[in-house]
Amino acid sequence: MKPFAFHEPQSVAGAIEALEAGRENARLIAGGSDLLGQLKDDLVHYERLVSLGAIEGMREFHGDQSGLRIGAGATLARLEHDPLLTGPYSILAEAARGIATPEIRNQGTVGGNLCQRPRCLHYRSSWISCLKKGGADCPAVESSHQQYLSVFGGAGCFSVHASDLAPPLLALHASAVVAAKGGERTIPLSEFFAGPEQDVRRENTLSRNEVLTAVVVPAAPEGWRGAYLKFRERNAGDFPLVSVAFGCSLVEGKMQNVRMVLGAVSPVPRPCPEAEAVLEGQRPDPEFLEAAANAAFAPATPLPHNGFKVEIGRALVLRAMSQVLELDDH
Amino acid sequence: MNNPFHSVGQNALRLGLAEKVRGEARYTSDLKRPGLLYGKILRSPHPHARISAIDVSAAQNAPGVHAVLTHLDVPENSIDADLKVLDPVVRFVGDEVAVVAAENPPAAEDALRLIRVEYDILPAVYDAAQALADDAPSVHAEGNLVDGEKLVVSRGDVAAGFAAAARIFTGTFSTQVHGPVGMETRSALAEWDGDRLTVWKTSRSLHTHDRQTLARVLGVPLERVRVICTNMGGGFGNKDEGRLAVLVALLARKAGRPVRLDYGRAEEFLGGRNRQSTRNRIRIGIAEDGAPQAIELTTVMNAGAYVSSGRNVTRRVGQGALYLYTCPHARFEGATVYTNRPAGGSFRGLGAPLGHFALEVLVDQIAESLQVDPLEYRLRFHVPLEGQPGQRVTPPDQMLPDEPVEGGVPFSSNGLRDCLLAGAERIGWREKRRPNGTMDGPRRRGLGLAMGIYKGGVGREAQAEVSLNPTGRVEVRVGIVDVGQGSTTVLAQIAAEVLQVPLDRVDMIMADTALTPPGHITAGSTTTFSSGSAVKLAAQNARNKLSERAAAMMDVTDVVLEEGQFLARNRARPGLSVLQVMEGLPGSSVGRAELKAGSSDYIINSFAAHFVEVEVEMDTGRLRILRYVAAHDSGRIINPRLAENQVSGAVLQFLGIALREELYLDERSGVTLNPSFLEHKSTSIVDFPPVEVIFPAGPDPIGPFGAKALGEPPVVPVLGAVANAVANASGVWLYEAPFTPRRVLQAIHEQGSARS
Repeated sequence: MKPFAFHEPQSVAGAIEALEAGRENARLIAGGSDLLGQLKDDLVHYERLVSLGAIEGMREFHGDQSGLRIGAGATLARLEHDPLLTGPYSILAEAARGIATPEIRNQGTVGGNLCQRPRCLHYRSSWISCLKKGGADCPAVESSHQQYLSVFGGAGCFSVHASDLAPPLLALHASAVVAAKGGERTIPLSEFFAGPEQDVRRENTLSRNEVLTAVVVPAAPEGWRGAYLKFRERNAGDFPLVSVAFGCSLVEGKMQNVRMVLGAVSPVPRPCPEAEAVLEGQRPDPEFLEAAANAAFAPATPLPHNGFKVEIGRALVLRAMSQVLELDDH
Repeated sequence: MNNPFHSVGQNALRLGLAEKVRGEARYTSDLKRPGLLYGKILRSPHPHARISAIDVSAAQNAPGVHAVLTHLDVPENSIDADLKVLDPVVRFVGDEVAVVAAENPPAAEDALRLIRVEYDILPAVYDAAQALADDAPSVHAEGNLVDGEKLVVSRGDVAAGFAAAARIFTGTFSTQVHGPVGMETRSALAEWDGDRLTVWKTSRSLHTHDRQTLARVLGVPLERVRVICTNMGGGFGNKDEGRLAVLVALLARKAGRPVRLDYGRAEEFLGGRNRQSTRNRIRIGIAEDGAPQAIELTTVMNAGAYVSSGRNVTRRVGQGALYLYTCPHARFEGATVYTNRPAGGSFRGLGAPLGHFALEVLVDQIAESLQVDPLEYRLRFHVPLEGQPGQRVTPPDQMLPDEPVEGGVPFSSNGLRDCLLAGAERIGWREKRRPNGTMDGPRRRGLGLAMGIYKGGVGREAQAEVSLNPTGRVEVRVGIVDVGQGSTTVLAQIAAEVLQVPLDRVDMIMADTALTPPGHITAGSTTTFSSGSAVKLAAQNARNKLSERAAAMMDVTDVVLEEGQFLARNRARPGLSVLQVMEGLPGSSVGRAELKAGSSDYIINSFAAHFVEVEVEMDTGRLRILRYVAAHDSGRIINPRLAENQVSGAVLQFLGIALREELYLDERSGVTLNPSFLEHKSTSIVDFPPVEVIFPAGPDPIGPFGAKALGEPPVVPVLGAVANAVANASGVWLYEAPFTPRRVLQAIHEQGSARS
């Protein structure tokens, strides 16, 4: 790790100012559980870190009939335990509970989880050059260790977004609140993430002097229930190989407001409108569930050594649907 | 079991436990000395290169920097035949290039960035089979086959055995590179006082390795080198190898101040010593009745860039194939191969778990083919107390090897049958087990078992001193290191038993070359057996002196010791307690012992049978360990609680290795991709299954109070037991460890067991 200056502004405006003053070499830090590791491993270097930790407003946590507003500085532990996250929102608590370890959940934040960098093994090695680090090509495409890479293509870089919160938030049709010098804008979370075809060195659309301040979750449809399932090699302290957020409401025995979002299989979290369309308005019969699972992965183009993620993903989608629909274990 | 002893066989609390729980125990990286400097290592970014130029002037002039060393500044003497102190040729990504000592760790790290190195890149090779090809790049000048030849050991005539066999079974099994993951990373602190050197370090072998190596390489007389290990945070057979101690001593000499250097976690995975990968081809020929007639195991081991203990690891791959089943003809052939991977070294069980994986899975395949329950097959054909058939080769008056090959030699004790029966009973084998592959549904459960045979027995040369002091304290001095397995406690229990004093009267003095007689390396699961025997004999010698003293005090010719009391043989007078006699001593009374290793009459091995129940998710390839029963013959157990922890810890460690732990190498760059606890996936606490430990066998006639080895034996059967349980549940055989979801799914597809 190289030395850096540490700023701790008291307001979002102060954070934006400090970012601006730091020019290209400034970076926001919240819980730091991802960024500090990258600094220590010499993957990145910033002259100036601008902490969001002293900004009380970043930790807001509100809920009412109109939905939820969760500050980007709220900890993952708060999500795990907050009594507001029941009913349709319990999918967020479920996802938070599966992240990392209790120590990291105490430290890590919602904003940090959404803005985390890829876990691609090649990206994470300081000895290896790659597109994301300004290199000429992607060394991972010819590696035999591709379990943490995309099965849905990658525009040169095949790293995946490993956030556990993004799939359930996308399934809940959440938005991101972004503060900039001129004020605040709210964009659908689906427009917050951006893949390598836009800019291989970034995973979202935040510009340099912007701050993600909150996520807003609209009121869920009546009776909507969701589940988040995460497949990983060990059951604590591990990122997903594949994850899925699935939810729907059952109206007169028919599925409505079907939402399905895959995690850890593509450069950005992947909503599955084709699979949702297969189910929307149908009864939860096995043939539709099978068809939806197939539809979710039909466009998959796995790399030579990660085809198994497609198979696991299909099984996981079936399980998630069975769980939400309270069917017998598939 | 009726325990005739007062200390042996008791669940004494681990000595030093309270200090560890309170965080007060001091490990090497906790130690400070006045004026301490901090070292850091510059590591090679290339898998194979020659350093053509190196400029350290900027680093040397950086603020706070006191010493910089490169290959140009170090003694000619090598640490090992293939390991220089620093080398102009680097052989893996992470190999040591230069070291720096500075006022604080960040200053040292900053100085590393100022060192300018020019490399001539050399071709690299990572795969052992490729490294043996004629046109492969040479990792060392002598060639990539270590020692220039394969190791071959055999009994009988395997060619004849196979020719006469009714059926022959074969299989090829491979195992992965992974890190031993002691929680404590390597660390060393060196301090010079004139020409006297003191080194504190993470070590398992202060007397026999570190002190010798330091004295020889640095050119310092042995008596001026003192090595100390205050506490070890995880040994697993792995912390005496490498350059660390020598480099730190050289930095301290150059800087004129003490220097400490602690490995980071990534460095531990790269610059420590990892488990080597192996590819093992096994062949078993059987007679009509299923009896093994010939067993042959051929292994190719990828040793990485430096061999360290690799030869022993390779040899140990063969142990099960050579000796676990009664078989007249057996042969083992092992190639140990240099590559440009991070160096391998010794790790718990050496090659035994790897070879047993191949052996025990192929035996299950034989049993399946014969439609015999694999438990029954093993009960019929496991090696008995009498040992293997054939003629003894070792001359009768000579010590027998502890890695047996020859026939005609009995074991001192052999509890395999006890372990098989007790373990089967505990897990409910006969009631629950169904034939392989007869389960259905998306989640399938099955039972598996595997046996293990391991050394430890004939032991090592060992010394001990037991001092009885007028203060009423007993001091036991042994030169070995307690690497965390609990030997401090077990040796104290042995001394307390002989002297019939309460355990809290015993002070253990260990792991300091200035305060202890020479001690053996903590390796080969031999501490209880070897140092335990030495402590027992030294305590007996001390007790004999005390008996004389008691007799004199009581004015009788002869006394007996009963329940802590010296009594006149004719019971004519009131007795004196051991403590009363000690308190009457004019000064310390010392009993000493020095034991040679070995037995000329018996092979002394430990045995195990492991049973496991697993669940296989057929649609995702995930394995879940539901229950594990480990039955062990390690003779009499000196401390059951420590022993149970030893076994359950070993099983949990190797379940992680069976299911997921692996170091990945990027084939393009030679970089190790996952040197971290996040991606080298040791088992998390929520993944631990219950492990039940039983010790159904009786005492051994040779070992101290009947004890045999225990440290490594419980790792030996794990891979095979899990693979056999997976086969039972799913009908699919696993040939490659670790058994990740990817590999399990692949096996399900390749072996055609359709999803339900």
